[in-house]
Parts: sequence; C-alpha cells; structure tokens
Amino acid sequence: MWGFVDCTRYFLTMGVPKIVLFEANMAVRTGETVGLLVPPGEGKSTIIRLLAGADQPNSGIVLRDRRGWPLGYTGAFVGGMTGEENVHNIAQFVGLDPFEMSAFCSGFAELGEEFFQRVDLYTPGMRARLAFAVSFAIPASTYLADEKIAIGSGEFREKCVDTLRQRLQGSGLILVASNPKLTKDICERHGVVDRGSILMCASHSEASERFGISVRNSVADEFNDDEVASFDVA
Amino acid sequence: MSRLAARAHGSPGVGEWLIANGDVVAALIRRDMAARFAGNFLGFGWTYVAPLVWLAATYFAFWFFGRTVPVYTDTVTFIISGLMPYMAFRYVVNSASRANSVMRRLLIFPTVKLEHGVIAATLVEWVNSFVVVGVVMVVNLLVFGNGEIDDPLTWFWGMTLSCGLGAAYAYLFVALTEVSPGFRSLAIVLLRPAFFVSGVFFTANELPDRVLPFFIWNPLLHAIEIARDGMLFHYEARVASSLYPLTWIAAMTALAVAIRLWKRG
Repeated sequence: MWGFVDCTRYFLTMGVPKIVLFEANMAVRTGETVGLLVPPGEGKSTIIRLLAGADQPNSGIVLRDRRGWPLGYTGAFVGGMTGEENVHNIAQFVGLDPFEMSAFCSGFAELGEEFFQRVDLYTPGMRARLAFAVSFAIPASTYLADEKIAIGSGEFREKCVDTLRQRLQGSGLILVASNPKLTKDICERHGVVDRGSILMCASHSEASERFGISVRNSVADEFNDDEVASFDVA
Repeated sequence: MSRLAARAHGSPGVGEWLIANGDVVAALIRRDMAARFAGNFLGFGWTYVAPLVWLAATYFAFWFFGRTVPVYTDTVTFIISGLMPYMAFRYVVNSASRANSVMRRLLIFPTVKLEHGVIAATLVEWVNSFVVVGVVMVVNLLVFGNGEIDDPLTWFWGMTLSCGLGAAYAYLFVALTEVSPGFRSLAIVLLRPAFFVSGVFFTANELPDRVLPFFIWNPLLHAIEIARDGMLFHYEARVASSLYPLTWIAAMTALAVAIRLWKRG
C-alpha cells in the first residue's frame, strides 16, 4: 500500500511557509497505476521524495511499500566512480548480482565505453540513461515517477516507454506530473493536488478539469501574495 | 535466487542478515573512499596534515605556557599520546554525524538505514585514525628520533574506545537531530570543552584529588588514559577503566536506538 495519512509537508522560505501537502490523504494499492497532477512549482519532487522515503513529513504518515523505486533516480550515483562501479555499488545495496545488473545496465543505457568512465564526466543525458537503466534493472513493486517516464529521443525514448509498459504488467506506477497528457494513457486512476489536498477523481477528464482550476488557484494565490508584498513595501 | 529475493521470502537467518548488512556497509565504505579520492587531493591530504598542525599548535602552547611534561618522555611524544586518541574521537564524530545528510539520498533503498551510514563512517575513520597515527609517529621518529609503543594492544584498545565513544556520541545526536534539528548545535557546543578536559594536556594521575572526581566522569578521559598507558613506556594509568567508556557507549547507543524506534512509531 502506498499513500499519505493526514500528511503535512511544508518548507519555510524567508519565514513564509510553502505548503506542499496539508493533512493530505491518499491510498494506492501496490500494483495500481496512478497519475497525480500537481501545478508547476507546487512540490512534485517533494511528493516523490516523500513516497520514496528520501524526505519526511512534518506530520502524518507516509505509507510505503518496501519495493518501490523512483524512475530515473540519479541521487545514488557517486561522481568519482565509473558507471560500472556505481551499478555494482547499487547492486550491493539491493542485494542483486552486480555482474548481472551491470550487464543489463550496460546494454540498456547504450553508453558504450563511457560506461567504464567516471560518472562526473557524464553529460546530464548520459546520467539519465544510466539512471533509467538502473531503475529497470531493479525489480520494483511500484515505480515512482517525477514527470519523466522516458528520456532522450527517438529509439531510446521508445525503448524506455516499452520497457516501462512491460514492467507495469507486474508492477504499479505513481506518476506525479504537471502535464495531464502524460498521465492520460499510462494511468488507470487519477488525482489532483490542490492547495495541499489530494483529490482522487473518477476519470482522467475530471482530473484534468480540476487540475485546470487548481492551476488557476495557484496563480491567483501568487497574485494575492504579490498584493500583500506591495502593501508591505508601501 | 538473489539475496533481495531471499530477503523477500521469509525472515533471513542471523548469518544471512549479517552478510546482507555487511554488504550494505561495504558498499557505503566504497562510496566514501571513492568520494574522498575523487575530490581534490589537497582536501584528502589535509586529513594527514591537520594532525601535524594540531601537534605543532599544542607543542607551541606547551612551550608558551612553560608546561613541563609530567611523564618521563619528550614533549612531542607526550602530546602525541593524548592528541591522537582525541583526534580519532573527533574524526569519528565529524564523519558519523554527517550520516543524516550523506544518507538522505540513499534512504530510498529499503535495505539502507541510517545506522549503516554511522557504522560505515566509523569504520573508515577508525582505520584512518591508525593511518594518521602512523604518519605522525614516523614523522616523530624521523624528526625527533623518538617512537614509543609500550603495549600495542592496550594502545590499540584505547584508540578503539575513543572511536567507539565518537561513534556512539554521533549516533545519539544523529537520532536526536531527527527529532529536532536544534540538537545538532547542542552536539557541537558539548564538544567544545572536550579538548581541554579529556587529558590531552594533562594526565589523570597528576590531577589533584579535589578535581579528579569531576574529570573522571568524562569517558573520553578514560579512553585517552588507556591509549597513553599503552603508548608510553613510563606511564601507568591508575584511574582509567575500560568498563566506564564501554558503559557510556552502550548507554548512548541504546538511547539512540530507542529514539529511532520511537520516531519510527
């Protein structure tokens, strides 16, 4: 089971709270594919980090399955190690055979000899390829995606989407995005984050509609903040 | 069957549990080493130069205040006997207390826990402290012609106790910092006087009877006294006890575990 129980997460910026979640609730069964629409700048990455366990809520409970995995996560790489060494290292963390995992990642990422170069010499695109390869090498019950379900262009992008679709035969997906088109085809259930609350919707069209309102709300909030700020200055 | 799959199918035995956790700690140590060597060599070299600078500063303080050495040995060797276990303690504290920030990116792995980070940092610094001592002792031997190790096992044990105290202290404050970030500042404040009250500049044997009962509360003083006893030919620690720092290590670790369990609900 994945989700939030009365979960609140906020950040203080110059003493002003920026609320990502406020007493939010969500329940996702392991194996479900859920799209969560979040207005731009309203905490997509934070939601994924909370679900992945890399961040803690200020209050409430995050429900996590033990075998969830963020898609394209580059945070576990060490720049001073080669791509191969990084994969071996991650294999040790998750208890997989390092050589099997390395063989898969080398083939999937299509980095050629660069796979044996230090990761801090990689371009962002190469890092992302390796990160996606690692994501697909680890057997996950649920994938967690922050806007991106594929990277690159052309054949590599198609390979990512195909592999994800294959994996989703036996795994779930929680996709947090600001683009409703992205969640439309790949997700079965849909939800919206509006002013810190999570609203689960009956269909994608309802979610898109609510998302539009949510985006307008967030723009209106920004406008009001500006007004207050201008009064303060005056 | 992979170990992950084995873990997923029922509870593992003690041996398997140890191997799985050992794998994680080994992987973290490898990352730590790679990150250090990949950084600038000036920073890495500073690890070995800093103790020599501390040594020189302490030697200067001895000379400036006209402090005489209370043991039959030269000033540099006396300073090394107290400074090195203290530095081992501080190195472990500094490294292990960074576990919160270092491990944040890795806690997405269900198998990786904060405790792995503390253990890995402690092991790296424990080994590193002996390398540092080796460098300092070689310099002492080459420059001043003195190199004392009376009882290597006792010295090793004293150094290890210092590292153990550092690890337990860091772990406790890592756990407390999860409750409130303010504890990080408290950990730093509490460490400030440690340099002056832990027997770097003096020995417990020379303390007057009226102050000894206060100083002897400090577990680091015991560890440093044991290391000094093992290093110097003409020094025997009369008031140091291994059991006392061990009790502190156990108590701080138990408290940290309790806090972590409570925090996890």
